[in-house]
Amino acid sequence: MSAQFDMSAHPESDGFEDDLARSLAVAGARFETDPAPLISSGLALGRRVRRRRRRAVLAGVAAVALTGVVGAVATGLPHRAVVSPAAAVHAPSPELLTRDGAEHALRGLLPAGGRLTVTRGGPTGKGVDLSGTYDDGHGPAAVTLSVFRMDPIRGYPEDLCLTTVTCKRSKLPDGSRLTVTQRAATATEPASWDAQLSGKDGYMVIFGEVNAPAQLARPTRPEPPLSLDQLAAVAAAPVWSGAAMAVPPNWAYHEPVIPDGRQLLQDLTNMLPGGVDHRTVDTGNGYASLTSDDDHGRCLIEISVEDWSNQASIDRAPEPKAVLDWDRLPDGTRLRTGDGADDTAGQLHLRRRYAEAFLPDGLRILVSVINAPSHEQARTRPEPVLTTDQLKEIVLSPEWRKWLG
Amino acid sequence: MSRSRTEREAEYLEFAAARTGHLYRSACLLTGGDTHLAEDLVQEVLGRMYVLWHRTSWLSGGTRIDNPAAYAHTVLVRAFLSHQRRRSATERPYGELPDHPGREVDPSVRVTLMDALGRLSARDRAVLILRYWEDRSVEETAEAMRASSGAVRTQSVRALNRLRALLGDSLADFVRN
Repeated sequence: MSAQFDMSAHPESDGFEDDLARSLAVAGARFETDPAPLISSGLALGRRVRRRRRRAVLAGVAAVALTGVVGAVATGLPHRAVVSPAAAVHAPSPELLTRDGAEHALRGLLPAGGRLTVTRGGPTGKGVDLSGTYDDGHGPAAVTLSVFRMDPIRGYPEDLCLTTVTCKRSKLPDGSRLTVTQRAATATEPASWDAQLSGKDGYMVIFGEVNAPAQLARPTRPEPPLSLDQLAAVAAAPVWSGAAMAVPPNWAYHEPVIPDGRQLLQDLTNMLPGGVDHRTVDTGNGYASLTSDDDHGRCLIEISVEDWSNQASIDRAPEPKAVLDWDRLPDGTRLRTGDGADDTAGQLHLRRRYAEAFLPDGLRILVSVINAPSHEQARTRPEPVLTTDQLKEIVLSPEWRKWLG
Repeated sequence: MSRSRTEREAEYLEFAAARTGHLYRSACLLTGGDTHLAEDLVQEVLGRMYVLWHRTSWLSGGTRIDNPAAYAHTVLVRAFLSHQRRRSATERPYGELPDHPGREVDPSVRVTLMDALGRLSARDRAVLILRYWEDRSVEETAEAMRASSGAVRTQSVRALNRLRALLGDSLADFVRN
């Protein structure tokens, strides 16, 4: 495990962090186990879950919920971001995002002398797909092209290169990653070669070919027509990045809302009881903290507001798994509260109260208070300055909904 | 270009074979050396990854996992935190801090490190393991822990301070030895 990390992110580093990274690497490396029983148990567990889910689907359980999930899965997008075909058709698209434009561009990138015949494809809303055949005179070969914009944070899975003859990964000067793979023919499928370009700005180009006129047809030639280098050149052509990045981001994925910490601080302060001394401690993306003193002892109050709307699709469920055991309010809001030991305060034995809400649109609001000015200081009073009811009132305030637009 | 079920199964097994050792080591660090809990967590992670794996393929409309190896570790951290939440506050054996921690070179300083990690809260431990063992960025750590970047920064500083108080200079000695 690499012990390297960005020291610029640790401005107060005194070498301790470096020592910690190295120590963890050394200590961790000494934990050894036979992986076989773990893999066997994990496999059995996974199979049980899959069987259970299949039975549930066959029984029609949760059919409505699954419709939404399958829709999201089919596009690889968060369920709220799925672009309807109508939107894709009626919205203005750059020329490259039309079937003709993409076909023209692809034809210009293929070796001269061959013949490209596009049989299917067109704009997808988040990019463009094409499929057809390319014949260099030695037999038609099926080719597919997929260009799409995607969430630059979430990205796209790297090919694991596990069942390939050749798998070459490289990083291009602009920071994009290129993976070229060669898969051998099987009893049912022809040889399959492809190049995947993952742009760091958030787009993907996948260009593939087989040595047969269709994806599942009998091979008609020893190898696909384009060499691996030629495949890579097509995938890495700048024309595709331009096309993908011309797609408005909100067509391709849901951009998580990141509330401004200063605004959160101001809103939170406005909701606190008047006549109390408040002092700012910290603000950051989606986070703010302050101390509050009502003349009975200073307390730390923290707020965190996060967009979890993508989490549901990650968890493959209508709601994130994390909220399923929370109370559900009539409007669909999930709510939970707590009052107990501050588990980040160690031996100080501080008391922490919190209220946490998850709105149906995916916003999660957490407000907490402890009976000390910080998690490292001794308590200043027996109970925190806010009651659980006051915390509930804050997290359920309609004020937070403004972040959802 | 779609892959058959058998091929996916084979790919999963190769993935599991390649990653289980590292998942186990991460789990041991997260659990402060509780190898039995680490094994339970790794089994859970491998089970979840198996379910996801059979929905994964490119161009076939399946679920797309961003970097399965990294995602498996995110699943591990979340499973660990979820497990800790379910447990009542049994795992906070905070004792008094040693007066002069680690001033002498301790041949069993690895035990000291694991003991110190065990004295941190679950979230503190998770943030340190993600940042300094997994080498994740603040933003990646925040996503794995479902927290804000600001909260992760604050928690990271706090956890480092606690560990520094527990270990003193013993880490430097550990690294050199």
